[in-house]
Amino acid sequence: MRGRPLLYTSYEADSAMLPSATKKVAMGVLLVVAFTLPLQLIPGLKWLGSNPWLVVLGQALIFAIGALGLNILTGLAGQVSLGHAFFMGMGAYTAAILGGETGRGVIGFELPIWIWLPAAGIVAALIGILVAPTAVRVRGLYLAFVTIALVFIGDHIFRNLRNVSGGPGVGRTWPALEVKVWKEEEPLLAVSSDGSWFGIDLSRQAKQYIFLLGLLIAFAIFHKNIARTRLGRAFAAIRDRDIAAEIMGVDEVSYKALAFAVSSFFAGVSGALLASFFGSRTPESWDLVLSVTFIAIILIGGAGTTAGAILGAFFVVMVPRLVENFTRLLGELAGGEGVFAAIANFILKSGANDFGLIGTSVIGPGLSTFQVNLLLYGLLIVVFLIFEPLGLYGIWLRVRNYWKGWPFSY
Amino acid sequence: MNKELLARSRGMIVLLVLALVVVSCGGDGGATTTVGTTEPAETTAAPTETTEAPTETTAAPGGDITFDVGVTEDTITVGLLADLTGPFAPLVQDIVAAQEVYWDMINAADGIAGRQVEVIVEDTAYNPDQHRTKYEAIRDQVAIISQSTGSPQTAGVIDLMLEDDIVAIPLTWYSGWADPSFDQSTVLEQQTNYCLEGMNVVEYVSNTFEEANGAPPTWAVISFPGEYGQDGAFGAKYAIEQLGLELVFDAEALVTPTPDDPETEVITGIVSNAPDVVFTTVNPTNLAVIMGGAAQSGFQGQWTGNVPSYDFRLLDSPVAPIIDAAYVQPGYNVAWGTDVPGMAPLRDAMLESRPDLRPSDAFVVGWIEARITHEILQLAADSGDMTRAGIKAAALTIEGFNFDGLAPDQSYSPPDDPNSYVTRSIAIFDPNLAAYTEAGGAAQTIGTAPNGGTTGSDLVEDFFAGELASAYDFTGACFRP
Repeated sequence: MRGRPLLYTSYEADSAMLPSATKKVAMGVLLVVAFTLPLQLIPGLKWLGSNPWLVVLGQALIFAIGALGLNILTGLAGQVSLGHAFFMGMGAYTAAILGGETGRGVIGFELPIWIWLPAAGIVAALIGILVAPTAVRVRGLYLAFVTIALVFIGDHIFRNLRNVSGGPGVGRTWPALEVKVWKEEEPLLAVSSDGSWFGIDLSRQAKQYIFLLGLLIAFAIFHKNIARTRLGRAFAAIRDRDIAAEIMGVDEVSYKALAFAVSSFFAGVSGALLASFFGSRTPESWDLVLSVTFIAIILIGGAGTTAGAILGAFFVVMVPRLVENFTRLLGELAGGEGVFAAIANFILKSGANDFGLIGTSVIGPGLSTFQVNLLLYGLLIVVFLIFEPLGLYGIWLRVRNYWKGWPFSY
Repeated sequence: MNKELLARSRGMIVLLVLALVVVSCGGDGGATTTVGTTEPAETTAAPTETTEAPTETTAAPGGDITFDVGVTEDTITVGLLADLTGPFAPLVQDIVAAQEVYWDMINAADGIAGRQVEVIVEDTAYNPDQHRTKYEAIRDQVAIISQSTGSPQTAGVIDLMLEDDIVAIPLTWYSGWADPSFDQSTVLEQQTNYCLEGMNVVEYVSNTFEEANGAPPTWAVISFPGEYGQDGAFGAKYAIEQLGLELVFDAEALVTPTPDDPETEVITGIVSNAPDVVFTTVNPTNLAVIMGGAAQSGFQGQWTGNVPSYDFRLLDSPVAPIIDAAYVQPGYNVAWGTDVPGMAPLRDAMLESRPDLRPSDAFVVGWIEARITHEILQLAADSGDMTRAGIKAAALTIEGFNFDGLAPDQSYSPPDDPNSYVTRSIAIFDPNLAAYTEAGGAAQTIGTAPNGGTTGSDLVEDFFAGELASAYDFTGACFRP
């Protein structure tokens, strides 16, 4: 019976995290590649392991944790929420109070990360449970409106709690990503300074990347376990038809509240990590745009799947930078000779009379790189929504299925 | 599988291939734009190599200059962290365009110390997170930052800049940049700051008002929260207090920096308290909203404020008549087209390279940033040390650098005594709607308008420092967040 795709002989095998040997090997390889990325060992991927890119990847990892949280609520339980930024902000300020420093008009207790990071999640989760009763009474578009309200309530609270947030336009600082036992000077595990781990010299960026990667893996396993067990099936039942779910004995109110709580826990942790990663933030940064970004991540990646949420986060964070590099590359090619130079010249607009789309200066004629970036980004989201509702995960499924039956595609 | 699905999957494969192309190109781009410093070992090796060079060959031109990050035998890389898609984009795009023109001009004239200047422009969208990520993206490539947009954004990367021992020219006039205890001289302030400007403006406007009306004015101060708004408000309120004037409405930090806020509270406060003059530390969009709202409710007082409150493009807006009649416009540098010796090279260069652009006061700002950056790099080259530390040391020796009338002289020395070197003077302009409209208004281009066009800013008072600003003991930032 070995080696037959889609043939499972036990329930355990069917719901296993990595149900086939191929998947286990592939995941192993992926993890090795991901963890060794900063060492720049693989020829084609060295650029990704450079410090500037590790910062981008670090942000993507944090966004992935937040996206996994929204995925539980929106992807699994089917509750559209635009309040994600509010829960992230709640988590971030919990972390700031517990882990931050007192001074410059803000309070902070300088507690270690093993207190402030879980607390960020727990406080956000408790608030999630608090707002759940109002949210479980409405569905669809109405729920979206209720959760939008959360963002504005949060905005008002964050702006006015000056001794917590530092006030609008000013902001405050967050504790660095350092693992300490208590308040000692030398951290147990120094994440935010250059140094060596296991005898390998690593930059601060590399260490933060590895630390965050570890956290993401933990959260991804957590997410996957929710999705493939009783809880996940209850969420899916509510998503697909809530009345039918209730008839089957799924307690809608408590499961919806639970979905809010778990989702908010992820959001709180993600918000705390984001603020800590960038060091300081202003209260107006936890806005609707941030919430919408997470909705975009879920939609682009593919709602309801663990891999989709992570892929979406990487896509949304990395694509703008890739597009910038692409236009920059065009500029360099245009100076050379050959076919590529001709293509680059065709696309670039160097003067008022030159044909092309992208201008070589920051301001007319032609669009600037950065305008193209915004346009392309928007276009990609539209294309995904129209052509690939399953998102990046859907593309992956197609590619995989194509090769599964190759050369007999159909 | 039906036809529709087939077509769809084909489309997806095309998209996937495109995505792969983009990704792989991104890889190439990342690799090629990194000017040889992704591996730290290389960078640290470079200076030792070059320090040994003179003993071997003294004949090689430029070979007697030591350098590390961002400088090679034939190039110097300059970085700009600019808001190209955020709220200040129209202004910053002009500033960057002027810098590009300046560096092209310098490169055509053999560059600096025989090296061509390469410019890396990164878009920060006025977002502190993006500012930090973009700084990380260019930190291993550039010798100096010739522009960093925004106060909180720039403050957010001070720790990184100190790690790199790099200097940056800020596109913000926060008084903290001249305070060594705030930035350890890593951010090199341009001209004066919001705080001292506030003192000068209040003193100047109070004097002219008293001359015209026989009695001193009452004031209102409205501002954004944070390093910009409250720094400017500090200076204005300090002057109002020192001059013994009455502050009838204090809206420090009450204006919200979002464009869609109706600002009802602030407008009502202005109208009901009826001050003679309103001092504003906001942005042009908010200024237009507040001015328009107050005028509709019958307010007829005078207006003034910090430089970034105003933009000549307001002369295209419905509040243009109020701007023309009642706005006193200060300036850190002269406006486009002002008759000073330093304007001719700028105008000629812009005429030659970018006659298609419409005239803008922001060109002067970009030109000044580039000129001081050039001076710093030239001094470093002359001293034979173009390492980042050498560049910083060279910058901190600058005393009385002359902009040929474009702006007051600039000094950074001695670095631990800001009270002795901080720039205290501003100029005063009068917005002239008639002249602006006559020249063609928004339709002007540098190439077609007479004399390069005008932004409608008439110089009424050349650079001066008032009594209060001159006497103010500047030992540190006026406003500390």
